[in-house]
Amino acid sequence: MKLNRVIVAIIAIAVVAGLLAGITFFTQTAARENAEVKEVNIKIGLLFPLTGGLAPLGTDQYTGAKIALDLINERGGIAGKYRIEYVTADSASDPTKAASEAERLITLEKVNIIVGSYASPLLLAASEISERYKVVYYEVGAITDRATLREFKYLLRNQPIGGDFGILSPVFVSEAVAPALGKKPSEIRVAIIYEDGPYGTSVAAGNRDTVRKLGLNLVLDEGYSAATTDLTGLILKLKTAEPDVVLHTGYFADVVLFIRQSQQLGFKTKVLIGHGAGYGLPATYKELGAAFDYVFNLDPSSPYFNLESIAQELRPLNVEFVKRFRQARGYDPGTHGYMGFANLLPLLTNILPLAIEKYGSIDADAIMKAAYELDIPEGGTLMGYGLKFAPPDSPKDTLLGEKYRDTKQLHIGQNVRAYPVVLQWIGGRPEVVYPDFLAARKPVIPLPKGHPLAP
Amino acid sequence: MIPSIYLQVLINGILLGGLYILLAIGLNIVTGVLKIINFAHGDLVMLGMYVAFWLSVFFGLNPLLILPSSFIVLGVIGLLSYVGVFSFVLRAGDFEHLLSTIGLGLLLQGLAQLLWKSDYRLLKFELPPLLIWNIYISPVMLSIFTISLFASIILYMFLLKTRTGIFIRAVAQDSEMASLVGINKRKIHLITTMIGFGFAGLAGGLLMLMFPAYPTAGFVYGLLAWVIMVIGGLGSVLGAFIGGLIIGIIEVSFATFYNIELARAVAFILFITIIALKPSGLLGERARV
Amino acid sequence: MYNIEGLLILSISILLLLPIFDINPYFVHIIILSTMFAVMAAGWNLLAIAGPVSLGHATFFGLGAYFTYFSLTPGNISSYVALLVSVGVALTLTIPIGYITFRFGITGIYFALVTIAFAEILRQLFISLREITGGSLGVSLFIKEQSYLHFIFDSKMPYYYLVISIFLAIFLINKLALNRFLKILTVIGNDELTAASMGINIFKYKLLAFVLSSIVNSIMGWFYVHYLRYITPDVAFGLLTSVEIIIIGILGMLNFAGIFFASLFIIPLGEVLRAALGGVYAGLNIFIYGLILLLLVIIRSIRIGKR
Repeated sequence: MKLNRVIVAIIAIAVVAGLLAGITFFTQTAARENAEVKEVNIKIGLLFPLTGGLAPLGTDQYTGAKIALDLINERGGIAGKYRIEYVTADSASDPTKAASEAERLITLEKVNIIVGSYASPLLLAASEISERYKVVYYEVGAITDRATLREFKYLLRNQPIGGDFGILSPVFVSEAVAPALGKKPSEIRVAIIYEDGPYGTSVAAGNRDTVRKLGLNLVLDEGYSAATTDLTGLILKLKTAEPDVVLHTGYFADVVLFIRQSQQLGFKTKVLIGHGAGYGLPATYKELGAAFDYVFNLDPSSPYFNLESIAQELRPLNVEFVKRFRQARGYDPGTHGYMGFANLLPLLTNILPLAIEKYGSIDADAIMKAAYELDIPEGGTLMGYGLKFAPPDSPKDTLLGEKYRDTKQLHIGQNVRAYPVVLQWIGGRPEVVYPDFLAARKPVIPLPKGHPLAP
Repeated sequence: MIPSIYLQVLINGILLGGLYILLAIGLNIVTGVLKIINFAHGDLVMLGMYVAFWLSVFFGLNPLLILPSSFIVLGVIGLLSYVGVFSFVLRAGDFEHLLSTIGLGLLLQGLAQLLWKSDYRLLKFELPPLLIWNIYISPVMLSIFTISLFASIILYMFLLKTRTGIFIRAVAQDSEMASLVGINKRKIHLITTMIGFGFAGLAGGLLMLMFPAYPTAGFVYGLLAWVIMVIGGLGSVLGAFIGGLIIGIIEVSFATFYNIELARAVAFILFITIIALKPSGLLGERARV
Repeated sequence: MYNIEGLLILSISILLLLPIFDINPYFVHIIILSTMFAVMAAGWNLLAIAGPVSLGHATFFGLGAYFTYFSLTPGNISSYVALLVSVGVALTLTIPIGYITFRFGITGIYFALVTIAFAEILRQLFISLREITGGSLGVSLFIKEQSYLHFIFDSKMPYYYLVISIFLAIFLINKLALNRFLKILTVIGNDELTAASMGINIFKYKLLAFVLSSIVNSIMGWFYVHYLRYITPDVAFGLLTSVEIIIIGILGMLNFAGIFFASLFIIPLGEVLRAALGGVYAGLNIFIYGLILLLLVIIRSIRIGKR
């Protein structure tokens, strides 16, 4: 029958296509292996979720990382001499697949370094593999405290940790919000709400501990599923609790739902502080418009901060990045894109050159040694914070942790000088408002009259 | 404010239920008539969301006006799916049905990701809340509820009064018998698939009023649809309606008075209890309308 | 006409000898994953033959994984004891569920939906009880030294051999000892009424199949944690895991050899597609994967229709 023949034809095409894809893949690999023998070649594997539930933000971060790599290559590569070859791998928002991709990058693609991961579960899964092979894993986005508490020898993270996100907002409330509202810290009513995934939970844990430590009045503390279709219950509870400040950690859909439903249910508050993810997305501002004005967000810095606070030679890179990101994605970068870019750069401009010049090698141990030797003061990186990776022989807590955490964490491989900052959405851009020396402007507290969420 | 919180919870539960109803209706029909477990349902809803989004953006029209297009486009996809897939697969066993819907779902997901990337797409559809007797009512949710109600009634009438509708119920109840009395089973299957998929698309279009579209959005909505379908009853429109309302009310109440995280789990527990006690759902009985 | 089971034995023999040649660890990893899923699909299949289609089979895998972690955390318990614990815990869920559903004749789509519900409830539970379970971030196995006691090795070989041996063992057990059992299950699956009238205790056989199925799957959960050393509620109980199992079970046409080859086809297929197309054409790999599944099913349906 004719239909059967059509089907057979389709199958034949599909099979041939599949074979071609498979053959192309394997031959490409073979080609790379041959090329490697001929010259010294730095190869980096980029491992980010490009499909699946985490893709929307993962892709931004991946784009930022790519821009950094391309930029350095344009200038001749590492130390102006060694071009970087990079390969893309999709962790597909699934830990098992992240592990498989890590295997592939290391054993098939033979990368020297894996750069990832955006999401904590992906980092935890993939770094198990890299550590076993003694390959360097350089993290630019995932924030789970746990990653650098595992005593891994080949893991570097240049990104603030979730616990610090958790710490900074109550500190901000205590030091900036309370005086602006004319109240004592103990008089400030605080609500903590968070999506119950790894991200939200780790931030909320920090929120909780610091709120208690600073003596703020915690009136509500609740998690919810990020995939929820309705937050009515939670918002009604918030209305009853009447918080002055809401500390919220969520992804895009739930943040939008929260703010929209709050307007629908008449929930009012004085200060709304988000902690990255959904609160850092330009798309969120685009969708919520005026309701998102004057909302605070904690993140490693966005590109929009007081550029005077960083070293002069770095400033043009910031501007260049914004331009390229816009070209690549069609919208202004938020914090995620910037993380991929700014957090990766020290690996390319400081660590690798040092490893080559001082140790003459880019094997894992040389890279790690070089990394631990770096000592960059505040203002020396594109994020505004400094750089110092805690080495295995003297694990340390982060700057914020030293100051505010009761039980100190002992991190290895973590940039202990990294910290998030407080940004405020003003005129459609997240501007840094705290700490003062990085601030582009002073914060606006409370939500001004006429704001949809203002009383 | 305290006494009115109960009323607020009830109202919001009902409105939320409206959303859930529409999610389940399409699934209900396809499952009840074709007797397959449609793993692709969530992805069909996702597609409906994208259709509503792109048409809305392209024509600059109010999304409510675009809704029928979601229904129609998905109906066409139903046609294609039936002709291209189901017509072959239905002759084989349950396992083949299942696998085919899994493949279909993945195909749609992959397509969405490829065409529209993973960025969140959201429509601007803001209306200030209505304040009646100290109760806040969201006009968006009210629209969703009304449209759900309307669509459910239309479907109900269709199944009850029209010739095709009656045939559909016949096939759902006993397909052997239906063939024997001369009903063209394959044609009914085709029509049901189109209607079922169309409703999934419509649900997606409605969801677009409040939620963002992204390629893996179908995952959550699909699961939800099944829960509602089972609680309300397989093959029963009225059952899907009541099931949706019940879940909506339970979720909001539980979230408000206890803990939102476990609200969904409670719905699942209810779901299991109903299966254990009355498997055909609260109202379902093969194909009672 | 070739004998597919002979082919299976041959293939496994080849796999067992493969490490003699210096095989890239990535391929070893893929074979390990494929075999792991083949084992789980085989377990799923045992139940499916008798009728009940479980859509939430990740449940037992997940329980096995998590309780392996819980058993190993104190530090002085061997992995073999952990194995017994995981299987035991999985069974505490299997037996009640099995009892209730089979005793009261909950079958078909309803059984399927109950299994989904359980997987979802457990997933949510493990996310909510974050103090004990680590929440949605999951748990990492914190054992560093290699040992047979804890089955932790840097090399992949022990895991490779273990999982292939497990599959082989299950296959042999099925072939040699469970022939009659399988035949009865098949009869039940084909026509319960007739089977009952022949005097078969439907309930007993279904429950037994369910128990064996969940044992096998929880063992794989134990294995997974030892091999990849990290588990989250989504991987443990998620729908994606359950669906992966089902795809392989169905493609394998419900027999062991078929499942083995199906798994060794579909999992590498997914990997190759993602590796080749994952970057720029993200999404195309999923599309093609779905398309291939569809085509395979359609072909098979046509064949079945012709008989």
